[in-house]
Amino acid sequence: MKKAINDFIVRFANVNGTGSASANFLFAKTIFRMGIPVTPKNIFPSNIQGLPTWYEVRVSEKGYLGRREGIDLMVCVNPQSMAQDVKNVKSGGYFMYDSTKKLPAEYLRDDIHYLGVPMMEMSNEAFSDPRKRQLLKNIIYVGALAKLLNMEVEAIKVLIGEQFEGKAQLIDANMKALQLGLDYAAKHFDFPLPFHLEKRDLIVDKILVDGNTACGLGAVYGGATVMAWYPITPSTSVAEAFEHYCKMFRIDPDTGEHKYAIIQAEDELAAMGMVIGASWNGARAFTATSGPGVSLMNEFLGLAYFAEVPAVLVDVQRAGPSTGMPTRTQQPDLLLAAYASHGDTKHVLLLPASPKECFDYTALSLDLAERLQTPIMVMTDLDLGMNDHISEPFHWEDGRQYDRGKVLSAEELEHVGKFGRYLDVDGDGIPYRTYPGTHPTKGAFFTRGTSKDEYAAYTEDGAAYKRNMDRLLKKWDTAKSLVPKAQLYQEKTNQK
Amino acid sequence: MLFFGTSQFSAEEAKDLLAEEGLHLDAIRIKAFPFGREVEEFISSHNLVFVIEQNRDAQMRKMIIMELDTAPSKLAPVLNYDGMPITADKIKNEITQYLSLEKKQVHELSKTTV
Repeated sequence: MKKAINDFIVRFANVNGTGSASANFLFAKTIFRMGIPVTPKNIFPSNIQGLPTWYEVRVSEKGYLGRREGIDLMVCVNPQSMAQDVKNVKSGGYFMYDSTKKLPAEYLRDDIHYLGVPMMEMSNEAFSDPRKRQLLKNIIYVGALAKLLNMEVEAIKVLIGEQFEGKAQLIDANMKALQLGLDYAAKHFDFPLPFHLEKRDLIVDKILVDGNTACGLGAVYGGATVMAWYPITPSTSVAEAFEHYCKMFRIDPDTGEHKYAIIQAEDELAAMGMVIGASWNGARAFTATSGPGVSLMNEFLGLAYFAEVPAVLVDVQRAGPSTGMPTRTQQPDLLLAAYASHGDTKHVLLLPASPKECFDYTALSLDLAERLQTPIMVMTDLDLGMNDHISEPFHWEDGRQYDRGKVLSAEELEHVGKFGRYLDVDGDGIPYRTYPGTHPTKGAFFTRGTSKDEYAAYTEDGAAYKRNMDRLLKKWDTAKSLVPKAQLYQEKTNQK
Repeated sequence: MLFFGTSQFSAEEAKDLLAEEGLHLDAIRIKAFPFGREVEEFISSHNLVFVIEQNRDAQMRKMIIMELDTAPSKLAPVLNYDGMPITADKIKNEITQYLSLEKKQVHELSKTTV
């Protein structure tokens, strides 16, 4: 195998629920701390415990953050998936396994290298607590990898110290396991492997974060005060992140008052209904869900579109249809989201590609929803939402004002002759709205999903209905100038 | 090339890999729907656009056809829907394969007309 510096793929094969996630993340984060671009991806089953799980780490000096095919090094600690894992190693690649048990002959290939480390045996000898033995077995392979791949041991130790801060016993045990792995690899293998790491300074100010956390934080910065949701993979951690940051930023330090509301509704229908109700009443509200949730929210999305109520939905897409593959990624909800609900409906979609854009677009969606008085959907996916990505740092201008859209105050209403909730005063298709109770006698209107005229009065008059539908289309045209512009990559050498 | 969302990183890498082989492609990353003027202009100024997406039914391609009245033959789908994030290798191979097939068809056609 030819020599490669900072350019390879390692895949870990583990049993779900054995504590491997934190060891594997420790491996990826160490590389990040060494200043080298790294992309970790968690490939996990929808069933909770006992099934195979994989963690793929791509290291790329050139900074490529997407997936590539071909596994250079497989770390297999799951007998269940071993047959498949052996097959998946690139010719000339390496296969690390737990050699506590002899490797069955059928798993031997003559075009790959084998690295047997008796992880379980070493862990059993070194530690007495059965649960700890299992967890520390994972740190033993991190130690072996550190030697084989030329990882910065000091960086691993710092991370272990950070992870178990204040828990001296755990730190000691992890350090011991790490050293066991390091020593074993040093004694039994040639190191480093032909592909390995060299410290760089390529990360600069970038951060390692998942898209769901970025959406949750973006919602806080974007001024959301209400979130109504129903748990669903892979979007649940958007709600968790929102709650986490609300607790940090939205509790009055003097009074302890919570300046936010998070409602776990009875289902997705109710969640969307609550978002619409809160928005109608003047709050910035949002929900987060995945494809099956968007299906259930269709009816309410149609109401919000036609009654022109702001709403924000973060759709962390996963493979469908129906329950599909809940823990696998896809972009399968575009048509469902863009044309959600019956009748002529179209919805604004924002399509972030990175955690930075998850943060920016979630904040922006709250502005757009109020400016356009319509649902805005932020379309991420499981890969972006649940995996850690290297991202540009988030930025927020302190002087930034929220765009609350066309909302008439009591004073403004005084100067309005007859208030027309669905009247296109400015010629951009966007009417003026009022919050309930703004003025004692003016600005009231009936919010409904049925056909109405410019003054929100019920009508079945075809001409009035058509005028309203055409105005909504005009608003759609206005939206084109408000959403983020596409990014162009022009090749100078290219021709039509 | 046209792509959006998490396909960005693999698409950018595939673009570089194709360029290394002498195939230089223009590209656009869509960030929102409805499509702005720049999307319309990009598509109308190219004869062939590879629409890269991670679903079975080429949903973005369909939205472009519906919203911009683009001729379907102009939009070649590059799709990934096995539940794993799309790879640069997949994008590169599909584009290379499509173009070599197209070249072969043109060649076959020129033989029959002679």
